[in-house]
Amino acid sequence: MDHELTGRARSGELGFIALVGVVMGGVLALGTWKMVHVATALGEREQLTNAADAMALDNAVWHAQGMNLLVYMNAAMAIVLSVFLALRVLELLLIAVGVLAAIFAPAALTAIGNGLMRVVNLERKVGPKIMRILHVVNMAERVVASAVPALPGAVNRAELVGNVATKGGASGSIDVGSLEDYYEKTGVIRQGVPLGLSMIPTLVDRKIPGFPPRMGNLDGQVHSSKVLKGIKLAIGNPSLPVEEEDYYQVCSRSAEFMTAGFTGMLARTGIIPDQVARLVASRVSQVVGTLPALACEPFDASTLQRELEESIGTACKAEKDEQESGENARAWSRSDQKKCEKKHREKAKESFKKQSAQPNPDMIKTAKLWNITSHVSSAFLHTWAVAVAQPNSFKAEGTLKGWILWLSGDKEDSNDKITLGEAEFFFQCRKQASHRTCGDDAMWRPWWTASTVRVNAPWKEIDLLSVAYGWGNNALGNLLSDALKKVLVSSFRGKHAADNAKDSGWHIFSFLFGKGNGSNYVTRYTLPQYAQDQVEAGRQAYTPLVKDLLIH
Amino acid sequence: VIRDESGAAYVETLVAFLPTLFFFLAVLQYGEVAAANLVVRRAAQAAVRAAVVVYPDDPRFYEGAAPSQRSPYVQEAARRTLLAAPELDVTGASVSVSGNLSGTSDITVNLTVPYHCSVFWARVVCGLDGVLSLNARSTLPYLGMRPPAGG
Repeated sequence: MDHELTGRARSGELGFIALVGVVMGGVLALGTWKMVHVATALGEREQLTNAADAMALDNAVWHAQGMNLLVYMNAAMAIVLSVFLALRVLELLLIAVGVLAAIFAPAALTAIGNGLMRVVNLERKVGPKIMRILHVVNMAERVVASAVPALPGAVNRAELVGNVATKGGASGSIDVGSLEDYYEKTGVIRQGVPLGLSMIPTLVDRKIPGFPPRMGNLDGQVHSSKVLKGIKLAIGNPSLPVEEEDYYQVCSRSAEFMTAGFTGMLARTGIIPDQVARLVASRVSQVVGTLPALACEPFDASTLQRELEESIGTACKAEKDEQESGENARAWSRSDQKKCEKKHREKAKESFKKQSAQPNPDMIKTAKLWNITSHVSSAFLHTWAVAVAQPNSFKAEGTLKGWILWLSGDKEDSNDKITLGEAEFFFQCRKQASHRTCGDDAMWRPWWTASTVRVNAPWKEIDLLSVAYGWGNNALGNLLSDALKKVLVSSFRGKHAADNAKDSGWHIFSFLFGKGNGSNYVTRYTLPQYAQDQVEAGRQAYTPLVKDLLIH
Repeated sequence: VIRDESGAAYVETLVAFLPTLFFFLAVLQYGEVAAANLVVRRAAQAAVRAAVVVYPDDPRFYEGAAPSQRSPYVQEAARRTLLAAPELDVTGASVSVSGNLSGTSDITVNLTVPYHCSVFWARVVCGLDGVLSLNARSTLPYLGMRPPAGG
């Protein structure tokens, strides 16, 4: 009996302890479960944020590198053109010497004349090749401007497809995605989409009257090649935020390069003092910048242009005579003349392009920072990325809902599986100068870089005032330029004089109505100024452009 | 004799059970603190991430507020993450940002948050007042290389 009682009592104790053990063990297991889920949820959130940040930054880095590539191409054009410019300057010097010789030493005139002819012949031989090189580089610029905005997405996509292919994925679905490999095999990220306003087709710019169009298309720039003509259809291409700048801008930069290189060399050898070298470089580049048609226009090009203008005049005169004579005669209005000129200019241009084996300066443009991006934090200089989580991720977070674990703060009703990241690409001005004052240098120095920024919606970042400013600046500038061009178009120097006038019109406009990103010699950060900064910074005595490019 | 044995067993159980229960609750409390500590560390990361992008950002997004007046945005980034652990006293959180706000200098956020231990009886493991101070630091490079905004 004792035995039985003792046994009952013991078995009761055992049951009690087991019950307590089960309860305690269960609660401990729940606690551990919670801790693991908290850690998992935090990790998943962090991975999603990091992926969005990384993709946005990656996108911005692509854009910055694209801008730097355009800078190098612009610089390459300036360097190539400086060969032509050197010949032209030599010709002008020989002419000046010849004039002096005619007065003071007539005996030397023959030798000088022979020398001049040799240089002129050399220019005629080299000129077309240089123009062709410039044209090719310019076409390459257009391709770069157009292709870069699409690259981040394309590379991600290629990576995605490549991974699916190499995995031999049975499903073949891209959902398994490479981004999980790309972003440290997180397993959280399903898809990433890089976004940016550069993806907006250039067609949009061109359809808005007076809006400054971006560069990324080949429209009107191809002549004889059937293949390239096909690319004209690609007017809907995206584009980096750059627009076309006149050929004469390269000319002015070439002058800077040529004189800075030459005088810098003289300064280093001690022939002339630094200050004199800088002064000479500055003055020569100013003179050449002011007279680009004289300094950089090939002989043949000017002849062709003159012929083009003459052919338009002849064709329109014939149309006018036809309209004003006969039974149904009616007066030839100004709008008739305008329409006629426009029609025949297009026709003649096509015809000249076909006839001419050599690209003319009209077809050669360089990249300039888009006028609309005058504000440093312009939405057009920003990129975004959307990181989308796998459908089965954030289970931990979802399960913990009852524990009030909401890492997204106040959004207690949503289980966010999408995260945004944002980055920007920008031109790093020297001395932290404001964007606008060194905007003219933006496409001449490879100082584009990228950085992550705080996420804002694109529509919040579009500065309408800045867009209106760029738009108005472009429209009014063109109006003024066209007016000057009209006045000068019949002058003996032909269309290029008018183009110079157009350029001058821009300068006057910029000078009068603010410091835009246009060609503004007043605010431009010139190479001599840069050299001066270098001296002030105690880095080195003189830095010509090439070295500058190599350093950076 | 039988009753005595039974009583002894109960006393024995009580004596053994209370420390066991306390130990169990303490482990539970420790687990809660460890989970909250993870949240604090993540909050510090979120805060420093906000700091490196908010201070150099365009003033027009902050109603013209100077960088030195933008600390609330950094605090908000930390607060949103801290909400994940209800025992954390979000209102008592202290966020300090140190480092040179220029170039790519290191910016460090130091986050200190009071944690109210809430597990019955075992909260004394957190001290007599049942409050622990959880601390986390996080560092990122400042993203202020760009020129001043709005130029």
